[in-house]
Amino acid sequence: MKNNKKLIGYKIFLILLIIIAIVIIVLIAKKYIGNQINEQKNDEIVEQVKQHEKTSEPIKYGNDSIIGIISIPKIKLEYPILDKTTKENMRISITRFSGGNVNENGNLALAGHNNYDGTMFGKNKQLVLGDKIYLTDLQKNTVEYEINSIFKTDPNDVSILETRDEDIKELTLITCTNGNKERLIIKAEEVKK
Amino acid sequence: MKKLYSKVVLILMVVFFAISMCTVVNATAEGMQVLNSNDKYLIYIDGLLGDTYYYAIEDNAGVNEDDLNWIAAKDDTEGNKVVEVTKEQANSYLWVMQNNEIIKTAEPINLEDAVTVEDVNEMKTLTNRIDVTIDTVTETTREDDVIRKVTQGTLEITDSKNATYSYQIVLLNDENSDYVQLEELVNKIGTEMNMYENIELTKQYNELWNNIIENAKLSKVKDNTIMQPEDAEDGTKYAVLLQKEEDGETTYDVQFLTSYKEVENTETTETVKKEVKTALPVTFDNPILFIALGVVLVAIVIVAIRMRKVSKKNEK
Repeated sequence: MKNNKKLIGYKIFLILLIIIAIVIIVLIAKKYIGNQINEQKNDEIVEQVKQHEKTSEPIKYGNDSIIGIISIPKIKLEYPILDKTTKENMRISITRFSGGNVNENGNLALAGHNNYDGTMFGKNKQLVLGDKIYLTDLQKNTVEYEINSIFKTDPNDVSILETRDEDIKELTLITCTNGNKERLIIKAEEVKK
Repeated sequence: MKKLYSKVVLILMVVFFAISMCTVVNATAEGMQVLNSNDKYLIYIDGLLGDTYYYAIEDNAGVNEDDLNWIAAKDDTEGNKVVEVTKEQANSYLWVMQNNEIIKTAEPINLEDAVTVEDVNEMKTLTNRIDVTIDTVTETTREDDVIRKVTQGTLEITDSKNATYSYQIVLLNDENSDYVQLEELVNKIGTEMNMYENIELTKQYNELWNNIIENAKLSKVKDNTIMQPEDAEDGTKYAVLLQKEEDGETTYDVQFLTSYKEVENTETTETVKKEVKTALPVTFDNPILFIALGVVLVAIVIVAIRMRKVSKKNEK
């Protein structure tokens, strides 16, 4: 009798666990399907930005605006760069965290999520010194940057945002690593022709 | 020989006389304007509108002055002294006497260029036939750090919304003398003029206006607004000829305007707020769902094992 009651209890508990598992799986699927949909949308936006006429003003996009395009051929990355770093913007695309306009002299820092499914900056760990990054601005100028430094740092290390040389174009990519404990920093500099 | 000479001289005199008569008959006599009022023709004599005088009309310019039949000048509806003439008296001759002195002798009466009261009234409506409002519009543009505001004049048509409007802009310069003269004419309309002056002005208006309408090159008005000439600087005078078409009726009017242009350039100094970053952004992909799923799966396995153990116990 006692055992029967126990068995019924376990059955109910098991059913509950299964339901929770299903819910979690659905949430995970929703997140990563959402990521894929976002990827498609970003591809479309990149195309639209490429077709847009030359302008010196940011292109409106939702509540924010686009200031350029980032492309890293090695990891098949191509995203529009949103003007401001906010929680919402970072869900959508790569964002400007600090610095001037795209392809201006000085250090431009871009932030992106390190997603498990490889979207955003999820594949940045595959990059090595010498790899190329391309930034296209709204005047349709594309500048080639070469990675010259890759390291991890503390989340409070804002020194990586400083401009080393006012006369050159620098690029800093920021993403999380080691959970949220560190930041993976990739530094690149303009390749002068 | 003498007889022949005399005949030739006589013939020549007759020919010259005939030619001069023809010339005189076709010209409008100076100082006289004719108004066609209700099938009556009234001749206004410059300087005599308010004075008493006498006149005589004959078919023949060579009538002896002693044989003239003098009539006292008539009054028109406004009390002006006038000569009353009938249609049949066209191409006759007029004498005028004042204070027993003949001041006009055998002046030819030409009724062909008479104007009507309606003509005079029509002239007076010029610039008031199509309702308009004069306003300004400011356009702001930005180039680099300079904000440029340009304020210019506009003409807005406030007349019937069911009509279609066309226009032509003409600068008042030597190339457009008709419009220049029309502007001078319009300026006179507003002043006090007697009937003689009104008729004189009306004749001038008829000639100018017909010429202007005949040579007009009109464009459609958009949004009932006409901007001043693009390259017009502040103070440039120009005319806008307007055409209104509604229910098969066409009305022409004109406005004389002075362009207004004010340009304001403001250099902007943007205050750049430097945001001090104290930490790098949070960019990690939270694994909490995976962890939760893992925990749930482990719990499922444990519960399943426990259930199996209890079932086995029950079987025993």
